[in-house]
Amino acid sequence: MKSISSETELLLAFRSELSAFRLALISANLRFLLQKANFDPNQPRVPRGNPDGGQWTKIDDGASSTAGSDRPTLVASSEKPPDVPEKKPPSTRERNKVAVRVARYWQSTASGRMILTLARAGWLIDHAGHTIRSYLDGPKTLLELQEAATKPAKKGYSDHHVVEQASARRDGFPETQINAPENLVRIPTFKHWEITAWYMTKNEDYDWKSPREYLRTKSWAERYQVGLKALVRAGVLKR
Amino acid sequence: MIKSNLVSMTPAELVERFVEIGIAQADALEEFDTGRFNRLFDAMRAVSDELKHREPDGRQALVALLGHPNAQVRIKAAKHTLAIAPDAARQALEELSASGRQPQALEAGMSLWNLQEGVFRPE
Repeated sequence: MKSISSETELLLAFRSELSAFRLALISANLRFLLQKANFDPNQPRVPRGNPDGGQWTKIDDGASSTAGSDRPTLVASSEKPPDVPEKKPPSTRERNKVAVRVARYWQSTASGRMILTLARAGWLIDHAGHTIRSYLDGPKTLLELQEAATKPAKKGYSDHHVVEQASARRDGFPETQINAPENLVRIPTFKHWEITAWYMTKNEDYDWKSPREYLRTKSWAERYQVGLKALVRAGVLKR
Repeated sequence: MIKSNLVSMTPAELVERFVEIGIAQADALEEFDTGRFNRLFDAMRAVSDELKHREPDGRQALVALLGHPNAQVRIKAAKHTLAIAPDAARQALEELSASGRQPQALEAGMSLWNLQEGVFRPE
């Protein structure tokens, strides 16, 4: 018969093995999630209706054409991760709110913490995978942005008028000028929303008026300068 | 909030109100709800005007908000204190602009440019 101390030793050994097993499991899961963090929304999925519908069918080990070389690394971040619900919110507004939070968080942290949000909510990739991914783009030259706008539409990106089109039209600028290649740039969709929101919201800078209202009386050249500056400050256009 | 209510508030209460509005603005911006933001903008302007008309200028109390954890509160504190604490306020704008964190980085960067160009003349 074993003594109490040897039973305790066995129990401790078992616990130790269990801990090692859990650690291995967590480690494997972490590797999986890190690969997933460099996700490609076009990656094949199990079709809807299957028990594993929506799950990735294969993890591309670094060879993805859209993943790029900036594979995420685990870096400590002081910023609190966004609260991502596990279940898909019912309204588009709520889903976009979460997606923008995640995009901004990922951009500002540039760290492996992104896996935490991915691990929680697969719906986010389905809803906004392309727009979140495009938000992480670095700034580009004006020529690159203009050339991109001449190509077929691309998910996650929007064609943006450097000089706002609606107010330019109201003020009598010709369509040929409004839709000229030099006035059109293709930028990440959430960046397009942020710049448009900046134009629409009141601002202390412009005598308490919105930039859109302030620019109504200004020349095309001045509007273009403001448009370019906003692209730079939004992190879309290289200085 | 109507103006008469603001008149009866203490400076500390006005600062508290300024913070509440700033946090609500951040929420509106996250949802791209520009209508709600613009109403909150007017509300914040009324609070700031009330502080400005106190003797001495009550906006000095907003300088403490330049270190507030909410970036929207920080940027608005900076823009509303540029006239009375220009160095500290400008530094806050520069930090927000450099952070790259949107949408405050965009607004802060544009404000710095507008200050340089003489478009933004804080009073």
